[in-house]
Amino acid sequence: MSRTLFRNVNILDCTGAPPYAGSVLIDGNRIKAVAPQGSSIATDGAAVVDGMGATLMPGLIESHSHLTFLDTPDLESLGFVPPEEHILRSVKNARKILDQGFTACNSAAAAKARLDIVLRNAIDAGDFPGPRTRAASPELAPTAGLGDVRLRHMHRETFAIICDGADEFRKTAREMVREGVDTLKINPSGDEFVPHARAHQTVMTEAEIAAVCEVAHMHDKRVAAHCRSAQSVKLALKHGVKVIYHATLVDDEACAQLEAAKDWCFVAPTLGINYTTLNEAGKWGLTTEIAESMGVRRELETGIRNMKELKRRGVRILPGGDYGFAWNPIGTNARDIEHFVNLLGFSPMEAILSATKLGGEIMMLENELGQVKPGFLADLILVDGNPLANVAILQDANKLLAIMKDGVFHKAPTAKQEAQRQSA
Amino acid sequence: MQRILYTNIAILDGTGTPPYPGSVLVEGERIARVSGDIVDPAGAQIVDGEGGTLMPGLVEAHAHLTFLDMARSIDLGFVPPEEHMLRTATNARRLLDAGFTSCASAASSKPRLDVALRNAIDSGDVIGPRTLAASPEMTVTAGLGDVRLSHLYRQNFAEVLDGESEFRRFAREMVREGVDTLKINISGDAGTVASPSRATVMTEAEVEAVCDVAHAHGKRVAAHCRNDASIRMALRHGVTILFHANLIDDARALRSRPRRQGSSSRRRWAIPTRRSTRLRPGASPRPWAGSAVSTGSSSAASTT
Ligand SMILES: [Zn+2]
Repeated sequence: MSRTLFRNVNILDCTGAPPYAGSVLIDGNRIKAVAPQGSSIATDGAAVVDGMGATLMPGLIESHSHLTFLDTPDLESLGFVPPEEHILRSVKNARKILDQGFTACNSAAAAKARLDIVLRNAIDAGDFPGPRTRAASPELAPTAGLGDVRLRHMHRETFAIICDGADEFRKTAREMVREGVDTLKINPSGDEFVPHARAHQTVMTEAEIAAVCEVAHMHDKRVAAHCRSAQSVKLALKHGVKVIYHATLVDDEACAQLEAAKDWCFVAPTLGINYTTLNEAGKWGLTTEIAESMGVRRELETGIRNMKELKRRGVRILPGGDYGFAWNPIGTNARDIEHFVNLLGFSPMEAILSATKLGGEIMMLENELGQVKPGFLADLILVDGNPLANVAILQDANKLLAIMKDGVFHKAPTAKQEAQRQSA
Repeated sequence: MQRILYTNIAILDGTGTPPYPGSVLVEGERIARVSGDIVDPAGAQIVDGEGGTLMPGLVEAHAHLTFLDMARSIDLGFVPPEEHMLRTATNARRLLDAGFTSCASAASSKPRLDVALRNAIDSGDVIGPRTLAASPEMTVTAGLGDVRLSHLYRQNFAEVLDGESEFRRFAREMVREGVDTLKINISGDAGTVASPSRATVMTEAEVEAVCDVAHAHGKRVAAHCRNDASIRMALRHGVTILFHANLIDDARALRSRPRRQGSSSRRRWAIPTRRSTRLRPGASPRPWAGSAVSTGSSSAASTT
């Protein structure tokens, strides 16, 4: 079994403790020992990496990933990509996000029924490089819901499977369980950019939500729900949905219910997509004026206010900004960490913990992933600089001197880099 | 432009001349100079061959990059398109690693796999040989590749079609998807009980329909032809690649001019696949005058 020793590193262990100088020993795919400077560590036979003071921290974890989205400017373009090309492009995305230091991804929906599953299995088998992945279904949505891009006279599709009635939702959920998903994704609310299903509208019936949740519970799967409206959050919680995406328009009652469920549910607001839609989509014809007329600014500002309230109540809030669209492309996912600092008032430490420690929890590996601790999985990044001083450096792949997943270097530190840093 | 100079090599240039010492300069994607002397290396990256042989990358004339080394052809059918695409990408890399820089496909095991692979290789997304993409094997009910059970659907590498209009429509669909080669199974094969090698199972009209489509769109037809009648039928309609051709009565048949013109390549190729070829006395797979024989081994397939 291979052993690697990181010595002379500044350990940001993401337990919440401040960083400290020391060494970390990796044995196989796990962290064997973490030793602060001055204490001894058995290093026999280990390959030694001299960090020269760089920050060693857990790999980043994306809580709302869409590795099968293709940076398209609209939804229906996804539907035009055949499955063969689609899986190859998903493989490319997986590598891209791992290159950016994301060693784990909790999928928030696949763009076709089997893509996430096949991608996860291929990565786990070692056939293609990528982060560890929790595979999701496409978004199960009703006619006229978010993701229904059909024309009356012609079929089109995107990332959704359209279901109507509890029976259809149940059957689709079961099919996805058979194919091997970890997460069933449903769209109980609409979204501001969908004219026929707005963010404040709750478009799935309680019976439909209940049907999917029942299947999930029977098979030990998890449900994740697109819930912008307050009512959709309440219905989702009532039926045990563990991952609530957005939650932007929650009211007092929904906030109280989320607080009561904080030990078992997660909230990910997806600030990235709202931020870039409002500020950076002009090149695609979506100017700030148009975005404002769609209600995106109000949605973002209300969401920010509500996230601050949920944070105050101790709800677990995670970054992950719906990266995978033209103006919010895959690979820029670490911007959400900066959004947490700039928009939500998180301290840099809090924002980083939400992308590491809480990430391990949303990956259902609470005691194994997202912290630098003995026994944890060796998913690590070596960062040139101090992310606590500036979380934005996590967006720069050039600052990632090394990326290790499951005890194996995806990106090994090079002698050239070491020489450059020594002379700098 | 990137320049690479190979020096200190024996050049096996693939023209037919014996190897000779010299150097070869590559500029960008092309060979710029082949010389018996050392050429001026200005700015080029130098590769010292240390007396090794420099020769063209190998070319597989009967490739099945979408086949998955399975013992039974029906197992191909159980692989969903997503996994199939990824395993195909892995095969492409394996074959390139083995020195094959080009592949003429002799059939794709699902309709779009070869096409998607070729495009992904050409765009640099997947590492593999340059590829000419083929359709699945267009075959008839009871022909080579029809693995359906009467009560239950199964599939492998074939599209089962009956009648010239079905063949024509499917050929057109494959042209729309972007194949370079349309593959047809005119004869049977030893592994197919209902259609042995001596059986010619496609009708003249079916073969003609596919060839019509190919000629209209500037595509090429490749045919599984073991027996003499199937070879002659293929030749009558301008099929330019004959796979197997092992039961031919008189190799002079391959010398005749094709009756139809307008095919993208008028030279005909006979490719005796090694593994599944049983030679009859007098039917030698040696180069025939006027035709070219190429090699291909039907690797990863029990029959093709
Ligand atoms: Zn999303």
